[in-house]
Order: sequence, then C-alpha cells, then structure tokens
Amino acid sequence: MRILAGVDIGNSTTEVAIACQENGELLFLSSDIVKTTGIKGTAENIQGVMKALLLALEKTSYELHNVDVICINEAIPVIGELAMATLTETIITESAMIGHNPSTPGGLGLGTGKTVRIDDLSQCLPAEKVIPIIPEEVSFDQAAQIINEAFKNKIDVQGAIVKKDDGVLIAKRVANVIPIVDEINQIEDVPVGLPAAVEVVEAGRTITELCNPYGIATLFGLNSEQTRKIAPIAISLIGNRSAVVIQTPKGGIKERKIPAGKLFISGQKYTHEVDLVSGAEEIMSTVEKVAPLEDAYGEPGTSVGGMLSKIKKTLGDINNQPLESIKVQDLFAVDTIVPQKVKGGIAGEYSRNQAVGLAAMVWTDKSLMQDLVIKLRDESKVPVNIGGTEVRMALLGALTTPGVEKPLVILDMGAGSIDAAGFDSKGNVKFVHLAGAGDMLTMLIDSELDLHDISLAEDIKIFPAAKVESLFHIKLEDGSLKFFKNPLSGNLLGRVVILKEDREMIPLPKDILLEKLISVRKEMKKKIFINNVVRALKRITPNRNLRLIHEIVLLGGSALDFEIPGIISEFLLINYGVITGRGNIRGKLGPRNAVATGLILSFCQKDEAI
Amino acid sequence: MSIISYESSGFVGVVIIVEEGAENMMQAKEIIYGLEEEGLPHTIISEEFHDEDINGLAQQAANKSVFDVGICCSANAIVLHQGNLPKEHPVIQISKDQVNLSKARLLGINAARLIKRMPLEEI
Repeated sequence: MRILAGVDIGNSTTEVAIACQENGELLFLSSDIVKTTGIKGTAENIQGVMKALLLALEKTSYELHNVDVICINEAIPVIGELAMATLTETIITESAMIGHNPSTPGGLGLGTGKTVRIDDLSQCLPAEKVIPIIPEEVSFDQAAQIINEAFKNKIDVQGAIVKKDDGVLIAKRVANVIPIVDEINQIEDVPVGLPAAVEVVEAGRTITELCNPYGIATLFGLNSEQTRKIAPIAISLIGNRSAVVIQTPKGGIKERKIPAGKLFISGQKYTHEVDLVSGAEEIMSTVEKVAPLEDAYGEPGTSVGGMLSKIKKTLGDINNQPLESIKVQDLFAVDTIVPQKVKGGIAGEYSRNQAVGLAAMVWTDKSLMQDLVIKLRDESKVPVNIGGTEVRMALLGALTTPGVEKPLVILDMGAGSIDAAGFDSKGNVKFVHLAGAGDMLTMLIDSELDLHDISLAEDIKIFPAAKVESLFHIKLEDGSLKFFKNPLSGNLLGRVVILKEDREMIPLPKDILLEKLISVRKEMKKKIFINNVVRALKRITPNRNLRLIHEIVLLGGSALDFEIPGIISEFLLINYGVITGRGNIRGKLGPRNAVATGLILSFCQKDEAI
Repeated sequence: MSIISYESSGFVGVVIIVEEGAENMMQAKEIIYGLEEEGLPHTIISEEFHDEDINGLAQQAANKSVFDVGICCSANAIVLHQGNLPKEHPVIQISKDQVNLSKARLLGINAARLIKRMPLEEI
C-alpha cells in the first residue's frame, strides 16, 4: 500500500488530492484547497502547499510522513499582469460647466443671465438678466429675501446657483418660479460676471436644452467652431435633471486624447505595430494574426510602454533575469469605459472616458521549478515527482467527471489565464495558455464602476446583488422580493447590496444603481470570457473550426462563477452546436481539483506501464 | 393634545410629535426644512411628555402617518421611527447633548429618504 499526494499550484489557489493505492486499486481519500502563496512556480509557494497537504491529511488517518510521494504539476510559471490605459480625458478649461445632478434641485425652467454674487444683487440694474451665486454662509431665508427684493426692483433674476442642499427651500420662498441648482461644492470657483444658463426640469424628466450642443449655441449665440468646442459639455449633461453652463472667455472643454502609445506585437516573422487608440478589436486581430506570439512591447514613454515594462520588471525581479530575456507570450485586450473626475469641474463632475484593459502573460524560467521541488522535498521530507504539464493532468482529471469520455476538450479558467486542451486526430494533446481571466474581470469591474476597491469588485463578480427597498425587504436581480422578519440596518436602506453566502449584505457606494451593476458585470463577463474562450478553442481545433469539437468540460475557479459557465455554454451551443458543461471531478468535487487528481492518476498509470 | 399645523386634513405626510413649548425651537424647524427640501409634507402634534417616552411617542407618530414614518422631538433629543420597527429600535436617535441644527436638518432629510427608499445621509 502506498499513499500518494497530488499538488496543483495555480495562480490563485493551491489544490491537493490524497489517494491510497493498494493491490492496484486506487482510492481517493481527501482533497483540499488554499490560497497560493507567492507567485505561481516559485519557492514561495511551499508555504501554501504544506498548508494544503496538512489540511487534506487531517481528514485521513495518515500523516505527512506516511505519504510516499508528492506528485506536483510542472507548473509553467505564468505571470499575468493587468493594466489600464485611458485613451481620452475630459478637461474643462477655466471651469466652463457644472453638469450636476443634485437629488433635489429647486424650481423649474431654463434661465440665462450674468452670474452675480448674491450680496451684489441689489446693485444690479432693472431688467438686467442675472443668476445669483449663493454661498454657504447665506441661509435659504436670507437668499429668498434678497431675491424677492430684487424682483421688486424689477431685476430679472433668471435662476440661482447654491452651495448647500437648499434648492427646494429657496424655490418655495421666492415670488417667481426660477430654476435653482444646489449642492455645488466648489461654488467659490464659479466665475462672476459671465453669461450662464441654468436648467431644472420636473422630477422624473431630464433636461432638454443644456444637453443639446445647439441648445447651448442658441442661448449663448455661439458660432459653429465654438459650438463644436462645447459639444462634449452638452453630451456629458444628458440624463441629468438639472444643469448649469457658464460661458468663459477662452473657456472650453476638451476631450483630450492621451498619447496611449503604440504596441509592437512580434510573431515569428514579422513585428506589427498597433496604436492603442485603435482599440481592443484591432489589437486582438493583430495578436491572432501573428500567433504564436514571440514578444510584445510598448512605445517607451507612453502608458502602454510603461505597462509592459512593469510586467517584465516584476518577473525579472523574482528570477534575476535581465529584462531583455523576458518575453510576453500572450496578450489580451478589452475595451472599457472609465468614469473619471473631470479636471476643472466645480461640482465633482464625472465624464466617461474610453480605455483599454490589457492582460499580458509571461512564462518564466523552468529553473525556478527545480528550486521549488528541492525546497519542497527538504521541507516535507517526502520524495517529490514532477508530473506532466498541467493541461494533460487537467484532461486526465476531467475524465473522472461522470458522463465524460474522450475526445473531450477542457477549458481551465482560472484567475490569471484560460487554458484549453484537447486531442488532435492522432490522439496527441494540443493545448494553449492564454492571458486574461478572473483577475482581469475583477479589475475591469473595479474601474468601470469606479470603486477603487479590488476586494469589493471581487465580491461583485462572484455574488448576486439586490436593492434594499425597505427595512424589511429587498428586491433581487430578477425583480422578485425577499422579506425579513427582523429589520435591516438603516444604513443599508436604498442601497444596492451584494448578497454573500453567509447572508451578509455588503452595501455599495450610494450612486451605483442595480441595473448598472448587473449590466457592467454581465457585459464584462461576456467580453472577457467569450472572446478568450473562442480564441483558445480556435487555437487547439483543426482548421479553427469549433463545430468539430465533441464536448467541452469547464474547469477552474471561474467555472464556479454563478454566471460564467452559463454564458459560455449558451454561446457555444447557439453559435457552434457544442455541448459544454461544468466538470465534476471524481463525481463530487465540481470543477476543482482536476490537475491534482490527474497527477495521481498519471503517476499510477505510468507505474502500470512499467 | 392639539394639532397645530397640517396641510390638508388628518395626519398628512410625516407625523412629528413635538414637546409642548418646543414647537418654535430651531431644531424642530430644521427637521421640517429637511422634509421640505425633499418635498415631503408633514403634520405637527404638540404634546407634553417625558424624555424617557420619546421612542414610544416616535413610534406612535409613525403609526399615525400614512407613510408609517414619524418623528418625536423634545428640547434635547430627536427620534426617527418607522411604525413596524420594535419600539426600542428606532431608525435614528439623536440623544441628549448630541442634538444640533445640522443634525436636525439631516434627520428630516433622512425621514424623507426612508419614504423615498433612498440611501440615508450619515448623521
């Protein structure tokens, strides 16, 4: 009898399987999973490996010294790095607009006039069209009094701009109905004595004039060149209930194109040049054209140049290799939209700017693996055997799923990469490792929802969301309601929350809407997984014809996602007629532990052959 | 018990029970301004009471309100309650010595947001 341990070190998790072999019978005893320590394929992983081994052995009647051999995957150390490069940036020169959506603006209508300090309102001339600016120290009572006084003196007060949340209170106390926009944080920055327009519409409607470039042109009498300049302001105001636009002498707003730089993609024969600005589609078609990729690098001094050299440096540092010897083996790009604070804005305006998210993959030196094996042997005092490549082991492991038989194709979707493997007509294994999976998804959710909180983005990725409608009920994503016996905490009210498994509710920032969150999450899952899965499958299928695939087993952490397997299965069935399902290793472990299981199976098969 | 002001008939909007003699205090006014800014009507009831009854009275106020949301305001404490909550667990309570005008205004805003099912402001 002998005890075997299979160890699979992945980018984000380390999985182990323990089995016992007696008289040619192989019996799996236990398995476990921990977070990978350090970068995959380096000696730092040992801490995690030891922990996983001990956890799995605890569930058996054996101890570490009983283990006869540790079978470890020939972990091709892959480093995936992610980066975003914003392609456009909105800058307001001399603060030209307040595109602002306070929850309760006051009054109604569209007003135009010169901006004037509320203190100076009494000195304005009769019939003069003005828009008073009301700072924090003036109360709504005082403001209303001053404006009413001005009305009496026939001064044409067209609207008002207020710092505090007093819009409705002032509107109710002034004699005429005028539009009032409130909650302007940096009211001190609003220029005085310049033409301005204020628009407020009824609740439930959106502004119609200030979000139209020609509407603004009409109000300010702009020529065609000036109208072109202010067009981005107008567009960014679409969907608001209220807005203020101020015309400054040289004022303008620019959508500046940031020199994102060129990307150089080298295949075996040619090097292609792609401008990052041309977007993900162009980058990916170039990557596919030159595949297999030999290297990729960015134009020095640009954002893409910085990003790729950062990846190479990370890797160079861990195995002390010169930067030149490190080659990018795969590159994956996705278009995205990043909300960014407008430079020069007054009320914290945001604009949506285009960006490209990149995932790159670099394979490290195999010598690191040797180092890991030696150290693991020393630490565990157990002989260590390096099994075959990861994907072969995953294939073997996948075959333990009930209902699966050769010739199958596997898609191992982890945190850093998507691996695909299958058999060709001669029975040889064909496989591919591609960059861009779960971690990239997290990064893009984080940036598109403007969270700046990776662990929150991770939660959004893997758990469903809901809206807290009252202290006693929530609305789920499908519109159904869930009720509670005990009241929920008041700070959850009205918020979108993430429903964690342990019934814990994590509130999201107030401005995130449920519909927005669902659409960003689903779109990103589609963009990354469908594109990358198709790319991976084409590389391993004869003639790149996915219709020839018999069946596909999904494996890895991303296969556990509540949406991703469904999105992939649906897409592949509709477009290629391929059956796709989530693996269930050894009939009970789900899509986990395929490699660890395969390592043990492979080790025993080899012995039998001898 | 006397009804001091209401906008139509009965208990309109958010019901506010105010300690007798405290009706004209700034904090009661600020609560109303908060409601007004958010567009919510209200009814004020003035009553004599002890501070220890404030939670129960806030709940009573909530039970009278068509929106099920009520406020009780004494000279030095304010409680925001929703009728279906346990008496001792109001939505917000601003206790003795914690009351100031801006908190009173925010409490009014939050009463409105509770009804609008919008995220509450931090007090």
